[in-house]
Order: sequence, then structure tokens, then C-alpha cells
Amino acid sequence: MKRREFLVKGSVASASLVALSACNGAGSNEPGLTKPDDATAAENRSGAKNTIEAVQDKMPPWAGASPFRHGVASGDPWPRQIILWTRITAEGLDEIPVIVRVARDPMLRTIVHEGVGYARSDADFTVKIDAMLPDADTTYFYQFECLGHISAIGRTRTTAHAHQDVDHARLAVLSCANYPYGYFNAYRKVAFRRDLDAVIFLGDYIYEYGPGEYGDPQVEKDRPLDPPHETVTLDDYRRRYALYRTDGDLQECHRQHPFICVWDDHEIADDTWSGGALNHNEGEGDFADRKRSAIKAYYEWLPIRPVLPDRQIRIYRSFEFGQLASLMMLDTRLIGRDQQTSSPVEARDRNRSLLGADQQQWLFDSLQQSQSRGAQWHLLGQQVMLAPLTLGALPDTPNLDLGGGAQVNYDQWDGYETSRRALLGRIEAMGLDNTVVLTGDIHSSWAMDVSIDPGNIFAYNRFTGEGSLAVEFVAPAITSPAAPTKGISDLAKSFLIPANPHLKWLDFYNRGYMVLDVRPEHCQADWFHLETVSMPSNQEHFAMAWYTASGENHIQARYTPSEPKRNAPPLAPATEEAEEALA
Amino acid sequence: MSTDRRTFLRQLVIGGASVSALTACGGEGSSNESSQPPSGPDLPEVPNPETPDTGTSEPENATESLSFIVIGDMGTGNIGQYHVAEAMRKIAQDQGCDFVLGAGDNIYEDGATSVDDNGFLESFEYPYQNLDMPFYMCLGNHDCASTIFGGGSDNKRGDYQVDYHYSRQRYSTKWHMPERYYQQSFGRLEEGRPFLDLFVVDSNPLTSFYQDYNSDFSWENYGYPQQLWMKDRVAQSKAHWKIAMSHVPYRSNGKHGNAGNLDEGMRVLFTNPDADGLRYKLFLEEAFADEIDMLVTGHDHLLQWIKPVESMGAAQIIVSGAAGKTDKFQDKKRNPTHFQAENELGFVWVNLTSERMQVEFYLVDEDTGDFRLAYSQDETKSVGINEAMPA
Repeated sequence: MKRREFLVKGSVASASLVALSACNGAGSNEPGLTKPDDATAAENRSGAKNTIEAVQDKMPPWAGASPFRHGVASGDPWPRQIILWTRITAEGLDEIPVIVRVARDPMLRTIVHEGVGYARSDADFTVKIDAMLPDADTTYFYQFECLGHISAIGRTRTTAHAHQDVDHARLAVLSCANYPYGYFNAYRKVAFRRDLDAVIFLGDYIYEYGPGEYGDPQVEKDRPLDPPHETVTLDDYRRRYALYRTDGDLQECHRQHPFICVWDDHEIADDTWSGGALNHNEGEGDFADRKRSAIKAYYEWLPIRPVLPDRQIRIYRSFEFGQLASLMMLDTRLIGRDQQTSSPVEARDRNRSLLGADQQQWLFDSLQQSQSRGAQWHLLGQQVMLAPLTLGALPDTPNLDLGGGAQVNYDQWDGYETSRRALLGRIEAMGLDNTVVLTGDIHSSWAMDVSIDPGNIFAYNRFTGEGSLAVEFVAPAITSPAAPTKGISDLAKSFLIPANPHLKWLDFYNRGYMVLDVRPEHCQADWFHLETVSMPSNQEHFAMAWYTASGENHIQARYTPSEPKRNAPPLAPATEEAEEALA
Repeated sequence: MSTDRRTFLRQLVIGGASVSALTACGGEGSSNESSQPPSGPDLPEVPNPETPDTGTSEPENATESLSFIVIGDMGTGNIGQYHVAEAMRKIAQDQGCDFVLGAGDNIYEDGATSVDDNGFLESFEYPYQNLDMPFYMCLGNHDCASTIFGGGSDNKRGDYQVDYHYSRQRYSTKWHMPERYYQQSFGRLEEGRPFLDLFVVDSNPLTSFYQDYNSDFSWENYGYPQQLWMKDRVAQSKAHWKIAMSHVPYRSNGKHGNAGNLDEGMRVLFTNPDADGLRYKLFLEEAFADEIDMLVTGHDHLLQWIKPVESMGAAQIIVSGAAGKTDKFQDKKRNPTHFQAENELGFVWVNLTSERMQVEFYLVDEDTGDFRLAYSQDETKSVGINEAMPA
């Protein structure tokens, strides 16, 4: 194989892979400079067969079909490091070596990294390799090899260095993909957008429900759930992820773009908080066990890099897109959330927390760091709506614990008034401009100003946006429904917009996704809505765009989508040819 | 108290009120109107040639002990304040006292309105005339108030108390308030590290009952810059002991209560949305948690030693707000305490040695001036010493 000419010192032990990668990264990008006999030399020196070739030789015999049944994925991009993911399906085998190669071109001619991982039963045969790559802000292509088969070719992209000038970044923002509620047409549409830097996934990647509990019966007939009951155990969650990952649209989206993911409630159970969930009862066992299982399966199946090796529950973390933007991903669900309340009095309890003290402190420090380093935009990727959703807003009086509006959804920040005041109070105190909040969870499209007191005409002017501290864009669901008809959606809209002065636009009906266009002068969200999710469809339309100009901190409408990047790198080639066996 | 210790302590007593500390690093200059950013490296620590910090025979020796008294809410000018001052004098004489910390409300009821305001004499100089030691002062809400209710809506007024520090016409040199918020070092150890660093917070603009519409004191222009400055200074401090002083309590069992939920019940009368101290609480935690050994505040007219709480690390929490006025508890059990006393005047005496702090609470009879030791306890130092920054 020609590929073998590019072999560098490989390592059988995954622990030394970093060294291998670092060597690759720091060394030449010219694969030709690494002579094939280097590998032999290494072999002789160590006495062990520390080469990719040796790994290939040690591949167990396998006569079955391609083990790459769940596709490939990448995620958590850093300037020179990225998580590469696949899963091996090969019954009867364990500890299966998997080789990955990363190249600059879609035909994998210029290899810049090779690494080895192992598919093990204790991680559900998922494989994650944290590849070190030579260049920041660069698109790469990768492919796995295992058991004599090669995977589809994946495509990914590193972020720019923090100090680098970046004049344009584009991010797709997605959430809420319920398998039996529809076809993942949105994933397919996003996969085709070749100018994206990354896909931000804001949670509800899977749903825990059993058959018939939360789905469109017509769709569910053709998309039956596995396991055929609510997910509770580790095996349940693994099977549910495996089911989702057999979906071709989702596989294609992962194959083309790096994902930056956080969970919401349905990765565990509906309306999860740190100590329980609405959709959890005693018959389902200890919630702590369920949480642990859900988290373990999440880490196995999503291309996420653990922030702390021994504390997987911590997924709040940040990314940098050069000087243009910092992205802080939050966990408003599991790590610090106090139990939901339905009482507006309790919602203002000063001891309640949505983020928990540690995460809140981390967020405030991260905002300060982002401001200090001169990042133009401060993006917060998180689950539940920050701006209030009320049936009528009044001036807020914290000292009386009154006003602020008749709130309707206490699962959102509305149920954690102290946490919201702390965050908005900090943004105000810092004089921080250009905070953009990205939200999922609610299966609908919203564009809002974020004011500390939107119902107070002295604090916030609904006509000019003056007094707004930040803006919030809410991404629609991929398949999960909100209003059953367009008419109901319009009715709700006609009531809610007057009742919520900070709310500028909403759509309760359509499924789809958001593209966030980030430039020094603006941050714009384009909503793309799908024709249908009841059947596979390639049809989408541009619904609306809202943007905030730099320094303005409030949104304005725009009736055209943002311009794509010119000369975007090619997509990874289609899978058919690539999946052939190595024979 | 043993004679041995008294002798030992006397050797360490600082000679006079003119002793100034080694470094006096002020906060953002509100007295001189400069708006330069308050951050920056520590000034080099230059020993004051006139008054060596260890006082007596062996000035080159490292500091082994410091004693100080904490008073708060004292500036009434009433006989009670004089009685407390006399008790302080006796304790200082018997047990040693290098300086006094004044935790705010220095001049009732509405502060000073000029640098030669009578309040400086009536509420400070005359009552403490016989105490010959420096007083490190902190601004309270009454020092920044335009009415007798102490609403704290006139922060600018606090500048006169800074000006008094620099005044040449002042009655004595005891009054120390180089800036509205500042850092002060005491004593020194080998490698030139201070024995103690004191961090003084200006809490009124962060928590006042009534809103100050002077934008110079907004969170954006004053509160947050102060927070960043304080956090930076505390983190850089290499002092063996670190103590923070502020007027408004972090925790208290009195009517003002805990930061984050200050003045519950009374708050309905207030106009400042920050009156519950939500942002103030985070300020204190971000700047001081796991860094300081002791947090002293006033505001509630009580004496309390609140046990350390997780969110502030191992810091001992002292409320000393009964040096001029008294009040009763609102909820005795709100925070667990080592000691607490209501409806009596008093003060706190603290002695620090390298490994331990001794804290004593003295109660003073308002009418007779009789005083007694109400509580005394030793604590071993539990907050780690900052390592020197690696090169």
C-alpha cells in the first residue's frame, strides 16, 4: 500500500500517542521526509513492534462485514488538536486496534498524522483519538482502518489560535433531535454546508422515551426505537445512541463537520436537574446510577474531550475562534441545577442556582478572560432560555421580589432568578459588549434582546433596544415538535411578542437549524426551516435573520441570509467508494 | 495573662501612632480624581526608617506577633463610645495592641461633609484620644449617607474621610484611610514578606440601601474595577496572614443578615436593586475565598464570631459592630457561631503569631464602662501560605 510509505513511528500503547502526534505536528508536514526504515529502526531499538505496520499485523482475523457501522465523527476542535471518533462492530472481538490517518486533502495523499486507538468492550467499542495536527484554522480529512476495512472519509477543522485574526466564522447551531418524531433532514442540510467551522449542538441529541411515548406514529412505524423501552441502564443508553448513529443523515453531518456538544435533559431524562428528573421514578432505580450510565454512554458516543479526566460530569468548557470569538459551552442541566419549581416565589429564592457555584465562577472568569484578550464576540452555548418568557412583563423590583412578569416555564432561567441576575449583573458590571447567547431545548425559533428588566421602560426600550445587555438566539428542533399547526404558532406569536418587550421574533411551528455568521462587525443568526420532517426531504427555506451589530447589544432584523464563505474547502468524498475492504 | 507573655508582647508593641505600614497601596484614586487603572505590581516594600515595625531592641528581627483591636459602627460620639475606648486602652496596655481596625460607620449619622468636619473630632479624635496607635479605617454606609437613615446614596461624601488621612490640620495622625479601598502590610518576615496584609473594601457603593445616581460609583465604573483590583492584590500578596475588612457583613445573625440576602424584610423600602448584596457576595468570594484567614465586618451592631463557611474557605468571620451602638439578633441560628453577643457594646482583640490566632471578645457596659472578657479562643492557622511565584 502506498500509504505505508508514510509510516512514522507508531505506538501500540495509546498513552504514547501524544508523543507520536506531537512529533508529527512539530516535525515536517512533508510526509516524504519520514523514511520508511525509521519504523524498522524503532522496531529494532525497542524490541517491540511499535509501528502502525505492526499494529496492522496484529489485527485479529475478521471475515465479517465492515465494522464501521456507526460512521465517523470529530469534535472539540482546538487550534492543533481534535477528537476523532468511530465505533467498531465486530462480534466476538475485544481490544481491537484501530488506525486513523489524517491528511490535508480529501484523497488522503498528504498524511499529517497517524494514530492508533483500541475498541474495547468497556467503552462500548467506541474509539476516540485526540489527534495532534500541524496547523490551526485548517480543514483536514481523516479515515480509520480496522480489521482489514477502511471507514468513510471524514472531514474536520481546527480552530484558529486565540491571538489569530479571523474575519469570518460560521457555526451551525442545532438541538433536539428526536428519532421517532421525524427524519433528520436538518442534519443532512447542515452536512452540505461546506463553509462551516463547526456544528454547535445544544443538547437533546437523543431522547430517553420508550416506543409510543413521544413520537409521530407515522414516522415511528418506519423508525422503530431501540431499545424498545425507556432508557435507564448503561446498555439502554448505549443502544439508543447506536440506533441514532445508524441514521444516515446524522452520520453524514458528523462526517463532514466537527461537533461541539453539550447535553440537555433528554440525554438523561426529561427535565433533569442535578439530583433527579421529572421523567424518573423510583421503579427505575437510583437516579445517581442512571445519571452515571447516561454520562458514560454520552462520552462513549459523542466526540467530546473530557475537561477533567476523572470527572466526566464536567462538560462546561470553552473554545476560541481566534480574536473573533470565544465560545463558552455551559451545563445548565446536570452539574449544578437545583430542582425545578413551579412557584414564582421560590423561583426568586436567593439560594437557588442553575449553574452551581463552581461553574458560575468559571463562567465569570471566562468572560473576563475573553474580554481581556480582546475577543470581539462572547458566545454562550447553552440549553435553556435566558431571557424571560412571560404572559405580560412588569418592572422588576428585586427588593420586593415582585414584578418581572408572569413567567411560564420555570425549567428555564426564569426558575432561577438569582442565577440570571448574577450573570446579567456581571455582564453589566464588566461593561461587556457583544455577548450572544445560543439556546436550544424549546423546539422553536426565537430572537430576543436580553435585558435585566425588560418590563421596565426606564431600564429597557423595546423600540430602540436601549438597555439590552446581550442578545439571545434560540435554535429550532431538528425533529421535536412545538406547535402542531402554523395557525397556533402565529396565534402564540401574536400574543407573546406584545407581552414580552424584548422578544422580537418567534416561530413555534417549523423544525430546522440556525447558522451563526460571525464577523467583526456583526453576529447574525440565519434560521433555516425545513419543509417537512415527516419524510426524507431535501427542501428547506431561509426563514429570517436577526443580527446584532458590534457594540449595539440588541438585535435587528435582516431579510437575507448572511453571505457564505468564498472558496470553502471541499466536502469529504461520498462514502461508497471509500468503504471498500482493503483486500 | 502571664507575665512572660506580657513581657514578650510588650517588646513587640509598635511604638506610636505615627507608625505607618510598609506599603500603603490604595485603590482607584477617588480623592485625587485620577482614573488610572488600579491594577499593577506591588510597590517595593520599603521599611519606614522612622519607626521600625518591630519597634524595640532588635529591628532586624522578623515579626513574631501582632496584636490589634477590631471595632465597628463606633462613631456616635456618645459616652458609650468613650467607655469602649477606655476599655480598649486598658486591654492595649495589658495585652498589647499594635493598631486598630475600624470597620466603618466612623462618623454617625451622615458622615463628614468637609475635611474639617466636627465629626472627625467628636466621633474619632476625642473618644480615642488616649489610644496612641494607628487606626485603619473602612467606609460604612453612614459615612456615605446624606440622611440620618444611612441610605448610603452619597458615596462622594466618603472622599472627605480619605482627605482627612492627608490633612495637615488634623488633630492626630491616627486616622489611616489612604484610599477608599486599599491594601496595608504589617510587619515583615524573612525574604521581606509581610507578616500581615490587610485588604480594606469599600462596600457601600456595592450594597447601599438607596441608589447613588453618581455614575462614578456604579458597578461598571467602581464596583467591578474594585473587585478586579482586590482579587489581583490578594492573589499577589505573599503575606503570612491575610485579613480582609469591609463594612457590610458577608454573614451575620443580625438584622442586616447574609450577603446575597441582606436586609430581608427591610429591603422593600430600598431603591437600590443591589441592596440584597448578590454581587457583593460574589465580590467577596472571588477576591477572598481560600486566600484570607479572617474577614472582619461591622454594620450589624453585634459581636459575632461566625464559623468558617465553605464558600469563603477557612476564613474566620468576625462581625464587630458594637463599638458605639447596640442591637439584637434577628436570627441567632442563621449562621453557626463560636460566640455571639447582642445588646452590649464591645470590641474584639486579636493576637497573631506565626501559627495561631487568638481572638478575644470584650463586652463593655454602656452606662458604667465596666468591661469583661466574654470569650477567648485560639485557632491554628489553616490557610496555606502563598508560595513565591515560580520564575
